[in-house]
Amino acid sequence: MKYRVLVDGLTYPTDPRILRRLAAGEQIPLGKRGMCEPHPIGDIVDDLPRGSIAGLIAAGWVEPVEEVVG
Amino acid sequence: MTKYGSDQCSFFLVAGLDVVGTLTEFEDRREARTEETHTLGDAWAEHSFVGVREGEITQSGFYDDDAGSVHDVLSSGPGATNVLSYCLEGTATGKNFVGWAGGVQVNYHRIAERDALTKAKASYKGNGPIEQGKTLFPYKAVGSTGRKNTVDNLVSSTGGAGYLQYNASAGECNVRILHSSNDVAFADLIVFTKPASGHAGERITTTGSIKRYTAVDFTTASATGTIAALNAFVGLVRTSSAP
Repeated sequence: MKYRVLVDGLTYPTDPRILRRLAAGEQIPLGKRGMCEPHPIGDIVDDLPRGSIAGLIAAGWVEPVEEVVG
Repeated sequence: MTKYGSDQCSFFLVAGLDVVGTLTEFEDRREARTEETHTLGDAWAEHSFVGVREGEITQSGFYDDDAGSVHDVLSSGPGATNVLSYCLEGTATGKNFVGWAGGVQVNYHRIAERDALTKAKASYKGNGPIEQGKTLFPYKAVGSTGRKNTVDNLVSSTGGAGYLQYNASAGECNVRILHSSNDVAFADLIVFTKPASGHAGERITTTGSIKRYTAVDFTTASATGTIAALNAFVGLVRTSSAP
């Protein structure tokens, strides 16, 4: 699934090991999470942390992109 | 009850320069303007708040003419308006700071006295809001670029102001405040004017939603080279809280 970025500077960790540790409640300094480069408005992304997607859509930070099949 | 001592006064910033190391005392006084409202027939005086508040800071300490110290900051200052920030609660991220959107420097005194070190005093009057927020990056050297530790406000809120004070010797960089609702995915909240060689303070307001978690991000900007010897403070004031 792909999503369009609707806010400037969207950034998040992409390493599954980091995401697992965060999901387990571990405190990891922001600078040590291997965050992706900030995305500008309009970028299409497909690597959002799965657990954050619903919240990001609800906050209006991303929207699903309809994939054209043809 | 938490008590704080003079050793925990961690910075007093005027236009990006920290003068706390020269001060022996400062007083931040805020007052509400009132008008007497008692009338004929009243046995006691009455006062009503007229809706206007004002603030004044007086500082006193040692006279020091080093570059970037108190004389450098204040000697040409009477009449100038600068962003002021100070912290009375130590150096940890997340501690409260006080920000003055604008402090008009009213005067500057040098005081020489027999058998005593020369002293310096100054005072400021407020030109805009005086507010309390959370320190996102206490005033210190920015040792490396990248995102700094998050501050958890427990709830999101609406509206606020970001404060940046910096002193840099060369180059240029980007400073942003990021926010997040889950401490995983972050987006820009406030983007400051690029700090470059020199010193300054900046306050930028925002009217939108501020998510629960906030952090600072320092990155290099290449127009005039990598920034060198950057000392900075970043703080965030939330004007209202919402669930």
